[in-house]
Amino acid sequence: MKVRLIQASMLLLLGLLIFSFMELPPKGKSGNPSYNENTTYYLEQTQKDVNIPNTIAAILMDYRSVDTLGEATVLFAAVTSVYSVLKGGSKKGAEKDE
Amino acid sequence: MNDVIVKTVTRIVMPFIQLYGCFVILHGHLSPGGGFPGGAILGASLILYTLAFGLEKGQRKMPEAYSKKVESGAILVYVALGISGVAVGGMFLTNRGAGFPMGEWGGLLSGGFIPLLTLAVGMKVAATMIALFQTMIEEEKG
Repeated sequence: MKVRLIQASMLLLLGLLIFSFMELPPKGKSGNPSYNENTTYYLEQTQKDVNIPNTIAAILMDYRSVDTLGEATVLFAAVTSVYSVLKGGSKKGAEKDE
Repeated sequence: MNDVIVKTVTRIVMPFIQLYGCFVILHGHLSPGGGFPGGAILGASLILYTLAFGLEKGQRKMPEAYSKKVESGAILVYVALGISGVAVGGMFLTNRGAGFPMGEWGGLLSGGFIPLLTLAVGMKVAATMIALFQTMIEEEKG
């Protein structure tokens, strides 16, 4: 009974998601909500603000450079966690485990 | 792995991969690419070397102590460049406001601190890739 209830609610959720996907605006249309004044600003002002031809690099490294710092921090956290899991502890402790 | 063909091809191809990685990093603000893909290419070349020649030679080529220092140093360079904006009196990670020279349009040294940030991120990504790979393969062996 409980399983059936979960299955039914999952089906309902699936239908809801598919329905909401139908309502999305078509890709690449100029009237889309994602194509707002931000896009125009970046495309027009990058050459004046940052003086480089690559707009994507300007966004990544200048307008959103704090976000890139966060990405670098994620990499740092990944390496730190891998080290702490695979090489963590002193050598004495590792010998004790064996 | 002890294969003559793999070793020879690796030896021939390695400098070209690394040159391309450096190109992608250094031209990150001019052409498609940047720190993350360029660093991935550089790290992949070192992973290829480690796969072809074994872990010991790979660790001699890129020692763990070295990759650890690059790994932590690059992020410190990034933060230091950001704080230099605060020191001048602007916001964190200000480019033009902190007085970085904008340079000639389309030149290799243009766009303020963007080439420096790209270089730092690229070195960090390369060091991260090779450090993770060597750590994991070492554990598998031991």
